[in-house]
Amino acid sequence: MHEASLAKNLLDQVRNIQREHPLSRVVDVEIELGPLSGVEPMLLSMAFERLVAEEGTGEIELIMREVALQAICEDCQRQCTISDFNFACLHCQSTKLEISQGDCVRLMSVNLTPIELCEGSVQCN
Amino acid sequence: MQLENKRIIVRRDIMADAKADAAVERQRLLERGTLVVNLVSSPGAGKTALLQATARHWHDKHSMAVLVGDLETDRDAQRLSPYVPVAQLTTGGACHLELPLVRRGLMALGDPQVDFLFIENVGNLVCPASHDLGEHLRVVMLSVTDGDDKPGKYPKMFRTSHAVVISKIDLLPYVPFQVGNAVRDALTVQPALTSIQLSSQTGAGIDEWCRFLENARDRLVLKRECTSMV
Repeated sequence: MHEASLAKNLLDQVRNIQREHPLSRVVDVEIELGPLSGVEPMLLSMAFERLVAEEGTGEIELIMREVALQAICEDCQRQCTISDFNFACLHCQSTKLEISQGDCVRLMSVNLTPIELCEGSVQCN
Repeated sequence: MQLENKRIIVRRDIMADAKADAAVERQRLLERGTLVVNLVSSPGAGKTALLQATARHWHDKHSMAVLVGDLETDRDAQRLSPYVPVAQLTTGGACHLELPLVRRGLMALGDPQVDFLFIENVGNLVCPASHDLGEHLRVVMLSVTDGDDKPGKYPKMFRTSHAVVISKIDLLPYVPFQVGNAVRDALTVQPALTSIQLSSQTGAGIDEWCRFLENARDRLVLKRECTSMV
């Protein structure tokens, strides 16, 4: 179950981004994954939820968007969708394809909300 | 004043940092003349037997070292230690190796300057596919007792490999495995795959396997630059 390891990588990236924006709290995180991402979405979601809970600094919603496997053909330069893991260009049948989407877990965006300052103290949930 | 939420656009592979670390390690080892081979398969496909046969074949011709990953025990390291320097990486239940563990194993061996460094991954065709260990070659092994339908079932592993080794071919008369079906299935997923058939027991194909590795090393060490397929 390597989803735990991937969830740790994801949360590390999220916290790095949060650190660049002081006095903010993470509301949600949007990720993209596809047929060659090598993860089971539900297991990744559970692992992420568990890691966030262990930190004890509030919940983060994980928004997952599943995308098709797509590639750019090096010969005809056109984009095609790969079905059934058949790596041949749909337009010219070339097998020289560069995968452009669906082969990794990609952190798309992080939604931050400002931490409200009140009476000289920082509300830090 | 009402403060508003801010959505930061990232669009970044969550493994990007790990991949960057692996790329540094890959280049470092290449510059000292070491070709790193990440050997992956299901449990029992014959990774350790192949490394024993490789060491016997080369004898003094090439230097090699092995990092061997397992969930528990050092049985594989014991099998290899009469032949080559070997460090056992025990993952304690984790289903794959990651670069920090590989680095620790290299240090345990004294960061040896060898022609070939083999990483015998944990037996698993799923999780190791997502982890770049700084290898120059990823070789997926498929034994004839595994079944010839595996490439399509584990596409990421075959897609991210440079070669497929079909092992235990001395057992072909006794099993329904069709080499042509397995190779065709693998080439659908990764048309650039090199396929090699061998038996570590009889020695059939070991010469071709070793030549494949020697040619890959010559090419990469001369070129002095490499990329990952992971």
